[in-house]
Amino acid sequence: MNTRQLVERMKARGIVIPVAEWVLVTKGRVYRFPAHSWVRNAYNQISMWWADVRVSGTYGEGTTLFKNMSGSTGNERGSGGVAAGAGNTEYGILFGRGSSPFSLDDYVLSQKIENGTGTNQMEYQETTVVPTWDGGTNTWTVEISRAAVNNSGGSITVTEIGLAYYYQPYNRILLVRDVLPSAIDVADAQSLTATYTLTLEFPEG
Amino acid sequence: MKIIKDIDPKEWAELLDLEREALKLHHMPPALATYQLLVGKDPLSPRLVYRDISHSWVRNAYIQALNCILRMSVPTEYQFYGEGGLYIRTISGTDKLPDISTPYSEYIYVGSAGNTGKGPVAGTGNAAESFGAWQLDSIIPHGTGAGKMSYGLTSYSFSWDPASRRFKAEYVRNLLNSSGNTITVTEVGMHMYAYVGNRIDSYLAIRDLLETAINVANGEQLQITYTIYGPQLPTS
Repeated sequence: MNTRQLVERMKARGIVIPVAEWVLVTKGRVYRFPAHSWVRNAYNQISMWWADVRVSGTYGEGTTLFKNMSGSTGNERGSGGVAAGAGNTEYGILFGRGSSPFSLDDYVLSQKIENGTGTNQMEYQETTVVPTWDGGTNTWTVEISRAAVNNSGGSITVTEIGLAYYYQPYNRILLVRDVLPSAIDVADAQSLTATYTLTLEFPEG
Repeated sequence: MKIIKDIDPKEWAELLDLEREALKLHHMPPALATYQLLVGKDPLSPRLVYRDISHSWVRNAYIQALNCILRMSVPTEYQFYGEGGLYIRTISGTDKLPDISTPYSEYIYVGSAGNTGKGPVAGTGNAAESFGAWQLDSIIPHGTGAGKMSYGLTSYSFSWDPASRRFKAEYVRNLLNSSGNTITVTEVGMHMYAYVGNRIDSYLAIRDLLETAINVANGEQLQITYTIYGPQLPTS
């Protein structure tokens, strides 16, 4: 079964399943790959949003606790969104240089690229969130996009990417971490733009 | 009264199969729900009469979930409820932007006694199930007068099932018929109570039309249980 068949079969049962994809662009080159890697935080938060279930204990297998990007844990649902402003690397789309393989328990990028113009730093632009409705296919498409400019003076190799959200008062929570299928070199004075596209096909309009 | 409807094991197996396929393809599996209805005079030992897979998460629920993930700034052209809109319609018919910016510690499905704005609810309407439903077709009001039932407190339990690797929430509510007459229940649903439009309000998340109506005689209780399963977690 492929994704298309899965979506159709789910839809026939009245079930909507989110499908996500990453597109990265630098210097005219386009890299496109499925966004595969929801982390435990995302599963737990989505369980809370739908079922309002809360199982306490220690963060990890069998509890609904999240671990925020500072390593603190909590057990409540919430979201303040992903639309981080320019220069803010606490949430939104995040870029990294780490090489750790994906783990369900990832709560930070392996080695996040910080905002700035120093060595191995990039200047993060704002994360934008743009929804579009297609009445022909009854599909919501939400494009979450962010560019980062390399003014570090050297090339930067991007190997991982993530999506995190923020909500008050203290949590920045990683939802998605994908290790890139192949590293992307961003030359000095070039930008890298990442777009995370989430589609939801409704059974009817 | 014997069981007049039970979960189709083939349908349930197909859903679990789709769930497994979703995981294989690295997609977030869906949240599934089932419900069961028990009837009896003795509140401690009501009889199971109806059990089924819930088929009807409505538009409100999906819009709320989408907003939970992204909390978007909604463009003007999508500021309405309905096809192509990103607003939620409350059970009173008011259209609002979902807004869950504030962490909300209250349980959204746990209604206190007499509160029909949260938790399991029952009705006597016959409208077909619809993705766009935003209220029961004809909700049974709380009370003891004609056509009314006394809604009890919603009880709940939460658990993790290591075998299926998902969380489960069970919401149970008793509705006592002291109206003096039999009440014929034809629909059930779940009301969610959450932040919408910068304040807390009630809206419909699930509506299920019964294939066969259930008569609740005067003096009997209807016990509604909704079980909501979170998405199955991968192993690594």
